[in-house]
Amino acid sequence: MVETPEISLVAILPELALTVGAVVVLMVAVSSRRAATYLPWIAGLTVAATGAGLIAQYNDVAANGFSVSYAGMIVLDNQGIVIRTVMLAAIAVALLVGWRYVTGLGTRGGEALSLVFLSAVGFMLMASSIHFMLLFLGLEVGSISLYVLAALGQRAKRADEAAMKYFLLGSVASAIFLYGVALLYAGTGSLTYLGVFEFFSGDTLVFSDGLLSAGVALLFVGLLFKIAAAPFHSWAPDVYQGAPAGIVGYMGAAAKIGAIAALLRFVQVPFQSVIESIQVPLAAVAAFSVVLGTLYAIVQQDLRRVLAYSGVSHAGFLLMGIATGGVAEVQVLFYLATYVLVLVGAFGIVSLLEGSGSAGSPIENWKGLGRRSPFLAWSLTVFMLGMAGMPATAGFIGKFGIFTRAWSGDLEWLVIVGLLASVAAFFFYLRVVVAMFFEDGDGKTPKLGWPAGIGIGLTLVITVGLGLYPTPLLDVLTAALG
Amino acid sequence: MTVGPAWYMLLAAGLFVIGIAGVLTRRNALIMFMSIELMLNAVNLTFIAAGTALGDLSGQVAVFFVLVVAAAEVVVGLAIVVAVYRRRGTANVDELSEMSG
Amino acid sequence: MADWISLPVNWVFLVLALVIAFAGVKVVTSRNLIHAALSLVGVLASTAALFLLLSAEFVAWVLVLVYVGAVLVLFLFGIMITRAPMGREVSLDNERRGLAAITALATFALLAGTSWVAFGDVEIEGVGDPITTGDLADSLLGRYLIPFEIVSFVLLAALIGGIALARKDRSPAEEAERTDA
Repeated sequence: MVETPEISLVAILPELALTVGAVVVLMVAVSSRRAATYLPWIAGLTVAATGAGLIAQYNDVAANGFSVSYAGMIVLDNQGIVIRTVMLAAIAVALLVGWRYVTGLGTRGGEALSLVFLSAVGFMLMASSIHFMLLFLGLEVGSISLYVLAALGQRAKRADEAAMKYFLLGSVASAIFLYGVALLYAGTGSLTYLGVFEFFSGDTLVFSDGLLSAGVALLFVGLLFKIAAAPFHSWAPDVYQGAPAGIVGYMGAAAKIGAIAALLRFVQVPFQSVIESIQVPLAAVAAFSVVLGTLYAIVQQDLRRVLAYSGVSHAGFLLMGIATGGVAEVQVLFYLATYVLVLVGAFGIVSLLEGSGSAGSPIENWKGLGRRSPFLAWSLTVFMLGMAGMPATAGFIGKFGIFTRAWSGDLEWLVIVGLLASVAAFFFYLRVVVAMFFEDGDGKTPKLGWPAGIGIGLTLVITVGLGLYPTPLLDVLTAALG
Repeated sequence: MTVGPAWYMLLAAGLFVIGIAGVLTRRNALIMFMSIELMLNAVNLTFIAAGTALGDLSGQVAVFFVLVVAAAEVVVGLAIVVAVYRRRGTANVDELSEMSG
Repeated sequence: MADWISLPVNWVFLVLALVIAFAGVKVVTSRNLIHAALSLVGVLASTAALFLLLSAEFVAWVLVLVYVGAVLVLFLFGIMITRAPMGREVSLDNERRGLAAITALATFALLAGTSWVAFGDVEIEGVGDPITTGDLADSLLGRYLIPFEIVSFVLLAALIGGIALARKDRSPAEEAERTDA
């Protein structure tokens, strides 16, 4: 007899809205000749419906507290809602600044838009899943969609290399992650977070068991691959440089959101009682990422590779927050939200300058942009300062929060490494700023359309606004998660 | 005494490692791809061995999902390989190498 | 040791394991793509046989159907479409051999050792009382309902991707014709 699990529509409302959007986009794109005129409306409606779904979820949690549904597979709680909101914001900004990528694909535009929504469904599921197989499936829905997005409509040689590398290394990462799940299952007999948690908290010293350690290590390595933490970052620079400029910001942001959401849940539930064993390796990876990302970013000659290596160091900062255990979720989520938005915004500007299907963006091309297009040059300056963690930007608040948590969590050495790297990072972040304002060059003059203008303006407002006045959001986050 | 799950998992570990070695050493995209399939196959074997040892259904269900996902990955991967080949005339990853540093 | 040898099931396992190991090595070392693909068939078919030994019938047959039936055909198509060299080719592998060998051996030693420690003395008991396909179906549509639905998303994404990537672009003239029609 089939036992139907308890079904809770509200727990998957945002994902449902995005799914419907993806399917409608697909159908309209193949059936209507004037699809291109409808796509912006459908995209807007989908984003709005997803937002409405998130509000409904928030109200539900406020009224009933957190709930678990679908036979212990999906949890509905404020943390998941916050992560999905970040995801939604990333989609909205990415579509605004990257709309030319969608239209530039011509008949494939509908497919690309549909895949953007599908990938978001996958990564959102990672945030609410409390079952390892569901987590894996969410990861795969997201990753497979991103592999295709990286390869769509390519002409540049670098783009092919990027798509191939992204796919091959992404698949290897998935396989490693999955082997970790399998070994964990073999060792604990459970595929649910709760089962693993009970196993670890019941028996005191099981974690010294080799098989389990190997399983947990592989599990984390798979996810560290996805957030491009060193030494698992080798794919990131090539992909950030080679994938289409109009979508690569979203690709980086979405994968990071999904994997960080999963890692955060890992330290909160299944591996909470063995956090001491995990903390040291995680902190080591964090320190290595921060240092390596910063050092390599300094020597890069291409803005997109600079952003890739800075992404490695940002992964390190996020891991720093995660290594403290489940206590830093407010800080990690604040950092994640501000970083991914700035990343998407910065790549939006890259795609405006170079063209949305372009690969590579040498610093040369940015010389003199301060004269040719002051708005974009100043926006990029703010984004760069935000990533560097300049006071009065959201990046500073994010870094400050993570450092405080790590300091009080007995990771003082890691904070010192992070501080030194943050100071050194100003060098490479400001190099492009110097090129834009103080060096002469006559590269292309970007054309700024209104959707991209709105997207970049929105990101600017958020970066500066949250930098000057972060208290309301932090209070809301603390109240929701605390 | 019959062969225990440890033997199966040992075999799976070996297969997984062969797959990793393949990904690291070969440069033809199709071979790298087959090596990834070997890794996923090792995962499946581990799941089944563990599921049988535990007398639990979840192992087999997990393998079912892994099979579907692996098939989907093959579809996308081969589409990418074919698309790249059409434009470049090669399926060797190293020959695509333009970026470094 | 003597009773180990006397059990036929152990012999079957031994033969299959050797086939898997041999064919697996062949997949990653073969200089001929077709041989590599055929060795992959050997690995997968032997794995399916091992699944049967472990009394996991349904997934064993799914493995045969999906892999040997579909995935391998896709691989062969891929090999032929990319006109990959059919004969011997020397340039198929790269120079990182030493590094790869060390990594591979270290990982194997680690995983093998830990598997042995964890499962060395566990005997399989479930043989003869297999989990039936019906149990599996109940589980898929019951407890695993949501993952079962999400799997369709994976397939949808792969479907869109496969079509969008492999589809030929229409030439501008064809595009105009289509719009006029």
